[in-house]
Amino acid sequence: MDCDVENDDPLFFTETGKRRSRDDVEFIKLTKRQRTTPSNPTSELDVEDTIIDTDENVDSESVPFIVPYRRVLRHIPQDIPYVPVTTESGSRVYLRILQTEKKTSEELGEDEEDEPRKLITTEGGKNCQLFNNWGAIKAEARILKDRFHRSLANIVENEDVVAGLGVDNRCEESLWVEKYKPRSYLDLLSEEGTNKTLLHWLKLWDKSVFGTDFLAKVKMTKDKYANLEAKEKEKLEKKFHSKGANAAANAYAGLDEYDEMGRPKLKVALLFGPPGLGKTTCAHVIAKHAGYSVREMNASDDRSVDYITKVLDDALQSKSEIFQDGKPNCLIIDEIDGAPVATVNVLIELISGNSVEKGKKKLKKVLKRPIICICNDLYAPSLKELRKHALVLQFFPVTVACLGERLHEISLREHLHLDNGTIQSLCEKSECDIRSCLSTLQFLKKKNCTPKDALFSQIGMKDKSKGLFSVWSDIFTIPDSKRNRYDNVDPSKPAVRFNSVLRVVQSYGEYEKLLGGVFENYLRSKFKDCYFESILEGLSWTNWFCEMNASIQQHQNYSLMGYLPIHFVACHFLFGQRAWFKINFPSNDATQKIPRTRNIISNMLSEVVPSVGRFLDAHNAITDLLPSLLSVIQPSTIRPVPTQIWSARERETLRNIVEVMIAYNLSYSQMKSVESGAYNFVLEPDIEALTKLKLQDTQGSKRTFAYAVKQLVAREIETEKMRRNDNVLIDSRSQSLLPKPIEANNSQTTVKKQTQEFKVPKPVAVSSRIKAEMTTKDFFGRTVALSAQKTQDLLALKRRTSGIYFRFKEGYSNAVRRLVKMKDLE
Amino acid sequence: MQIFLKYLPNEDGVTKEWALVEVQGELGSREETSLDGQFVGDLYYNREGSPILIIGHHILFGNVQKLEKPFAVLEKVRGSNEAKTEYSVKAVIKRKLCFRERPKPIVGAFTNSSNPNDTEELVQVG
Repeated sequence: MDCDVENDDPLFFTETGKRRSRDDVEFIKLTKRQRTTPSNPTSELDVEDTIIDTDENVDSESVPFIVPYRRVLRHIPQDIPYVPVTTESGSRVYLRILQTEKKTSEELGEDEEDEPRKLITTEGGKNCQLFNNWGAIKAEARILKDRFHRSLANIVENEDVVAGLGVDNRCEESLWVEKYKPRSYLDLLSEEGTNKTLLHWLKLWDKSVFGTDFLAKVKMTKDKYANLEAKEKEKLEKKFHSKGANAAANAYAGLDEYDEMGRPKLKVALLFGPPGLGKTTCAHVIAKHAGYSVREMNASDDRSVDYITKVLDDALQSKSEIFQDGKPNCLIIDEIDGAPVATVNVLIELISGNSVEKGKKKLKKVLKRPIICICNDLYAPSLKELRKHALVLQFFPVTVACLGERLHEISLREHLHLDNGTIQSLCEKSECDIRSCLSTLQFLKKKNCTPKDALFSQIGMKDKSKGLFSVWSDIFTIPDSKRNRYDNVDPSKPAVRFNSVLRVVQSYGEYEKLLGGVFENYLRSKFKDCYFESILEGLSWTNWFCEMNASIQQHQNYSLMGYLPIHFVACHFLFGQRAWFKINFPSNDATQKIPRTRNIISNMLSEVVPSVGRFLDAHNAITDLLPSLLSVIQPSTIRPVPTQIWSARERETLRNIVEVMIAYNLSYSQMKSVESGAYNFVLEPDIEALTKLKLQDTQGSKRTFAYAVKQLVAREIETEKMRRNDNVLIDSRSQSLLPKPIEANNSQTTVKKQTQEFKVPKPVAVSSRIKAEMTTKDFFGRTVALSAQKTQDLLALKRRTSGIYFRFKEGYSNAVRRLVKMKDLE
Repeated sequence: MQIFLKYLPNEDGVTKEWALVEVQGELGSREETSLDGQFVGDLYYNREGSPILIIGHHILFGNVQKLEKPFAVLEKVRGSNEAKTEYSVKAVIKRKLCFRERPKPIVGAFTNSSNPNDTEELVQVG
């Protein structure tokens, strides 16, 4: 394998800050997909080791093999000797074998730097006549490369002069992000481990897609190097432990499994990470590297259920599409966290194999091609289910060194003179967002700005809104006074803090949400003033915010909206602290509690006895009355013992409690608690909830009544209410009856009534009197004179009624069971 | 032996029809006397035609059932000298009033709210 070194060397980009071990190179080679054509059985032999290197400037998309006499063919040539070759992009070409091969490549290299140089190596003995003078070619290639670098430097200098003259027509040039996009696996900037894991996963699909077992291949290669490794290990054993290999093995631990159809266990890869780290690029490059043709779906596509079903069917299922451009499809769903839940569910159903094709056959849909999903927020609610089925890979920000090196290279090519410090600070400023860095560089180039301008201005700042919690923590924490090396600004300076908090809050935008968190968390902050002045001030700021907001909502005067974020800045200066503390998500207790409280209060007030309610309004009730009322109706003087052994005083207290509770329309009602299932008596209306505050609750200061006592009180209230109702009813009746006997001119009863009218009637006496009266009244209240006969009948009836009684026998008619023994029957 | 029954229709030419009263329970007397000839209770019919029996301070709700075999109420007339002992049909029983529910107590004031004119006193058992 002499060609390894050569293979690794000329890349689109030079290796950036990464050291690749031989293992890695082998891995990359292994994973490289060379499509074998059935019509060319011989090619399979040498395909493994045939590598073509394209030069720096070659775009893999359009490998320009436009040679006058067509040495390079896209189709298998007939009757001509050829060498099959796979390019970096995975497309396959066939090189005609000519005697002049070596010469032409040399010429090409000398004439046009843009033309690809081809280095063909092979181990198979078949086409060896090409490479008789291998050493010569190698030496030549080195010379060519040196020359190329030199000429590149020359061009840079030349073009600088041109740029200085103002001749610059790069208006229609493509975005640098596109221009300097990684074209091959080795160009990828993202973390090696992530790349490898994704590639490994994708290769696992080989078994079902291409019919080759990747794992077996890996094993074979490993065996191949087993001897070498053993020797190496002996050397390394004493010094280092081969960490890398172990880590890699661990990372793949869950991966090396196939399901019953030869597909990997996890059918979907889910990449996540902040924007601009090259997730999409990585997915594309790796899919191409593994020999797939990429179909992409992103946020700009329609994401309805119907559409995604169609795409999934088309891209991954139907036969006609599978081999559309000669390569199987790999679906990349970008920004899946923005997709509706229903759409994601369709995907999950397909993955889990539950989805059934509509139609006669009722065939189960089977996922036959890999899907790579990309998202920024892994914990989006819609992805909850998908996470279980997916290989989740996190993209970490690229290291500054790595990105810096790449930027440096690009800036060299684009004739931007940037020193390392500037590049580094640019990386730091953009939080290693590759896309943002590149765009900033292009912007600088375009505007002819000096790099320093960019670093001190807003250019290159990420336009990314922070999460709710990080905004809150920005509000509550004062940053360290660590001086930024590059812009020389102390972040702990008030002015800087003011601006940064303001910017963060403004970019978040949802002020009311923020307010909730600030309001519920500000008390956790450690204050340094003993007079609580900052609390007072902060609350008045909050008050101001609420008033402002209400007024904005009411008058729709949105011009005032700009002042709202100042509240958070004020909070930052009042409550900010250096130490970190946990911020809880606001439970919005306050906003929920207000309507509930109002409801309870109005309920109570509407039923209060008028003599009491006359002097009571909601405000008074909640501030003055209710807190003390609770201790009046639940005094500690009542012992939870049977009523028989109560003292007279306790009885008196109970009577008092009942009086008071009726006066305020309070009672106990039995409620089943949700958690324990036990019954408890709860005040109705629940003034306990109004008066008890959270802090009191934790201290457990107040002992409430025992269950039995509450029950007793509840019963007493019920009976007392009934008694009163009766009294009221009787009173009203007797009052309505009073004038009538006078009209009826029954002198006897009138006299009787009039004498009784001035007494306070005893309930029993009244009721018996009523009963007597009632018998003699008809519907209109007139006295009905009883006829002598009827009276007699009644009397007889009364007399006869006595004597006979009826005793009900329950279950008497049921069949009587009797013990019967067999011997008795015989 | 054959027993001849004498069938004597009523004065209006209609056979009297009685009804059987079946109660779930037993009747007792507070005075420890026999129930014979005693007044048991009032029987009313409500508008739906189901019977209501009031015994003492109990009210019983029942229903009318048709007997599968009708009964005849016979009266044995012992003959004195020479005259034969004969049986005459006093009434026919085709229905029974069945009170199988637990009686409800009547509490409170004396109940005579129901006008006697509305309901018809049908039978007195005793």
